[in-house]
Amino acid sequence: MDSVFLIKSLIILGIFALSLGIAAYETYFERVIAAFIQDRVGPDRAGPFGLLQPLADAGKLFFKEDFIPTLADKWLFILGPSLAMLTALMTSAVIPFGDSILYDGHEILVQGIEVNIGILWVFGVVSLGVYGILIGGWASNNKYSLYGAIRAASQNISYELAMGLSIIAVLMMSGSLSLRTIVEEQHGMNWNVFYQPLGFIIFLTCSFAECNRTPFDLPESENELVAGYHTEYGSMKLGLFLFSEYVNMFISSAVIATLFFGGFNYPGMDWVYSALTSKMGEVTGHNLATLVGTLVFFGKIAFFIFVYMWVRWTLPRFRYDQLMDLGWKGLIPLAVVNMIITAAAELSNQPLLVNWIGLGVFIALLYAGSALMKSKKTSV
Amino acid sequence: MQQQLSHILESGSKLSVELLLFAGLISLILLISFLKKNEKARNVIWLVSLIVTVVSFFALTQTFVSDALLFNGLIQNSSFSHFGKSLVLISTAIILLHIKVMKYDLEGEYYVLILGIAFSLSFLLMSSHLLSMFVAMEAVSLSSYMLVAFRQKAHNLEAGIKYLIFGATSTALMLYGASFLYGITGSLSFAGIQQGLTSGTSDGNMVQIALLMTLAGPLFKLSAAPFHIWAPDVYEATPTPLISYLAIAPKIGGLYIAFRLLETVPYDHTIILSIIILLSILIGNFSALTQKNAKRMMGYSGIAQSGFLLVGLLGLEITGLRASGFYMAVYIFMTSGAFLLLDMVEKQTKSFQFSDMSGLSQKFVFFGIIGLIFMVGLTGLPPTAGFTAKFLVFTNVWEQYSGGGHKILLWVLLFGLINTAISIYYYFKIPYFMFLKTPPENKSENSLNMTQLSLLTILAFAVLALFFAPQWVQNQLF
Amino acid sequence: METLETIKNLTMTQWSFYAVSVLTLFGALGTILSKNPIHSVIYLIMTFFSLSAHYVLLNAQFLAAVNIVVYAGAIMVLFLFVVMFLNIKDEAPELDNNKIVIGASIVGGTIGVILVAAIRLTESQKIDPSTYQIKTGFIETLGQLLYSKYLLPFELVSVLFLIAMSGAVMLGRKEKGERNF
Repeated sequence: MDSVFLIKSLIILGIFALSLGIAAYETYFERVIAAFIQDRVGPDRAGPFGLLQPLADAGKLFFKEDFIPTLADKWLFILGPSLAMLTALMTSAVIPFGDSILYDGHEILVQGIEVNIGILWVFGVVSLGVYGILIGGWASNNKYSLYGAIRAASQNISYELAMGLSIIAVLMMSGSLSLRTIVEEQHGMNWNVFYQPLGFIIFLTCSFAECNRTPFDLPESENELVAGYHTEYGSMKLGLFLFSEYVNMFISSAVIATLFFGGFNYPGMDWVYSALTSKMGEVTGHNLATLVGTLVFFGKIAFFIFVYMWVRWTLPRFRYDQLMDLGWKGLIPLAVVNMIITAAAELSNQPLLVNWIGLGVFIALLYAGSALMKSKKTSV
Repeated sequence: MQQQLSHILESGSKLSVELLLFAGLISLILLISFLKKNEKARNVIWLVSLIVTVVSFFALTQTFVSDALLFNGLIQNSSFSHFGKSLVLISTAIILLHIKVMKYDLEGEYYVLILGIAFSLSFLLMSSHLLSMFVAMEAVSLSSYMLVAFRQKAHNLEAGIKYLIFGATSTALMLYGASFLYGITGSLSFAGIQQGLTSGTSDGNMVQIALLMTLAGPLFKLSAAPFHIWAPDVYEATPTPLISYLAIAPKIGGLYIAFRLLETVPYDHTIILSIIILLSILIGNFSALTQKNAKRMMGYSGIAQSGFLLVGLLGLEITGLRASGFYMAVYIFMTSGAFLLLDMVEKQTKSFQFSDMSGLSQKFVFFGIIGLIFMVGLTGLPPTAGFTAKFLVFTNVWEQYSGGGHKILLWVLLFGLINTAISIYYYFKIPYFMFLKTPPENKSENSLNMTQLSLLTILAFAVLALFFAPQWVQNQLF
Repeated sequence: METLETIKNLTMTQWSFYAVSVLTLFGALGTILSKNPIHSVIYLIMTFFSLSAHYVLLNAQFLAAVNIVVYAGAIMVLFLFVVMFLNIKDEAPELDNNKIVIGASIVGGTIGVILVAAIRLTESQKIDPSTYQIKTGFIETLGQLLYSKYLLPFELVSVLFLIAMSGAVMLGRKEKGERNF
């Protein structure tokens, strides 16, 4: 029992360390990718290829003066970044990073905790993420910070709705709120994204907005609000705010991969599993297969992190009313339509076919409707 | 599972009135969304809501009443609820007519809210379970808050917020009390609670306190003391037809739920109920005395009238309940008539102050006489149905008392009679100013609108007719 | 001494119950006692959190999660949002009025004392752990109840929301020529 407990703790610790480590190196890759897209060299001074750059950045932030404005609400000013970091790190607890490890006759899941409401946990913690920004922005006692905070709050609330609605379609397919069950339903190449192309697009857009990433980074848009909610922050408090954004990016990539891209499933996994178990024995083979699955999962995460950065350096920022229009008038109705199509598909015996047919019909109707409106307008 | 589904389907088929109202609601929302925002469209929306109300009323007369529990004991379409629902639909129709004859050009959403109140009230009037009661009551409350706040002027919003805060407080108290009732008996349905209380060995004090807290919800709807504080401000700020609706419709639901709750808890409620009644009557009457604004006065008088409405529940005897039901029916006609009267006066004088009404009836004698009828009715004097109603409820108290009831019943009777006398003073202020005061010079010469006057006459006729032929309503009573 | 013994013998669940309860009460008291409305709201969020923890202790994870998503995550964010915009910090003269505070405490205290006294007099019904169904708070049980026994209130709530929504849209609509915020 003790060794099982130890392994579980090691897994949790590993997940924790990995999220921090990956988040740290995201900052490096963000700069590398930005440099590549803008045809520059990028960071190359600290260590080989600039690989020690994150450490250098962190060191710089730690040694800067820790400053609290006179008229700021001191405790809330400190609470803001702490909350942002806390909520960012809490989500990873329920994400299944891999299948399971066999040890001493016990099967230990490669996952912080397996709860039957996994996706709701993610959702709840994400919805709390905005408190860090909101409280920090208000406590700064600065007009720009407050505006940034308010923007963040309204943006998060608006996009949470569409996000929740798009998840409901996935839940309809799997019939469970547990993330592990959702992953296990997508065994092999049976990924949800093939059934839910529209849901995936909505979810991806909303997760951009939830992470306050470009093109939805209005809370910190520098040409309007100086630096938004973290205008008054410096030193490691600022570091925590920025860092939490990268952790969020990692987590939301993981959630996207779990919900839509099969988590640790990959085509040919059964063959790999049987080959490994027959060659290396039942226990070692199983553990190695789990490791392969975990590596595949991290590959998927890395791809989505790359998508985040790619989008950031290609797309311009939305205007605020456009952002609200997109959320309320675009994504929420689309998510409802997606839900209806999925419901019909689930009731039929051919979910894949009916999903695509439904989507096609919807697009055709949309096109016909807009053409009709246009001809009406021109005739008038 | 199969059995439950068929039970649900069967129950659903008995809700024809509610389904009709719901279909009306949906069609109103669709009409609002897709019609243009002009006066013609608003007239269409008004017409649709009136048709829905009338059709539902006729559907109601066709429905078969049975005491069977529907939807797994959540609702019960008893004869009480049947009567209450017909009152709700009648008052809805009256209010819709009031809106039209007074040429209010309201946005479509008002009608959604009015029908929404009627819809939720008809569920409230059927509820036999704390859960369905709570949901239906909240639906009524939400629609009422929004009706009050709708004009978006500062004083409307202020009244709306006041209403909301008092409403939320009373709802919170009600839920707290209901959770105690659940904790004591382990059941949420009225029947289950009753059974748990009669068979269990629970402590009486706790049950009484829980009941008192649960009563906060219906008492707020009735605007009875101690949950009356919102009434005058809300009455003053809200447009007249809307407050006329809010003054009558939720009271029907409140009275029914108060009755159901009192009936559920098998203890002697005489003292608690008497205190509530005495407080409502005294506070309402004495505050109404000093008012200068007629609508505020109606607000306070509404508090007092709620006290009288509750008198019939004393002892929970069938005669008393019939008396309360009759009172409620008469109260609808009297109150909606009085508000229509005030609205017409306001059209002439542009104010609700008593002093501005001076000499109005010297110009329009018939109008004045009709107005007098409503005021006589609200006071409770013959030859109006108000007298019959008060007579019936007080007979109930007297019978309870002479049948060996508690001493406090005598006080209820005494104060009830004294306060009826006191209320003459403020109700007759309107006719007094209209008949006996000399009109100020250079008044603008507005003539009375004939449709308005005819609606007023019909309402006055109802108030008079029910005095001479109370059996019209009494035969409908359970 | 006896209390000390009881404290020593508390099980893990009881410990967490008391800890969470203390947190809940602390948050609730902070909500009504703090002068700054923002602090009040933050205390209230804390109360909601500890309530969610209570739900978890009662094995109702779904309720706990929904409580966090809906109340702590959405409603309280909007609350904070509005309070921040209003900036009541500078102008709250009535909150300092001692008469109101004293009156409210007397009324609240009396009700509290009555309730506590009455509850102490009542015999509490103990739940037998052996017959208690562990699945009571689970989402599957909840879903089945909502779609069979409590179908009517469930549907009624949706009508309630429909009415509330159409009203809210109306209330939020700008009049022509009104100032654009």
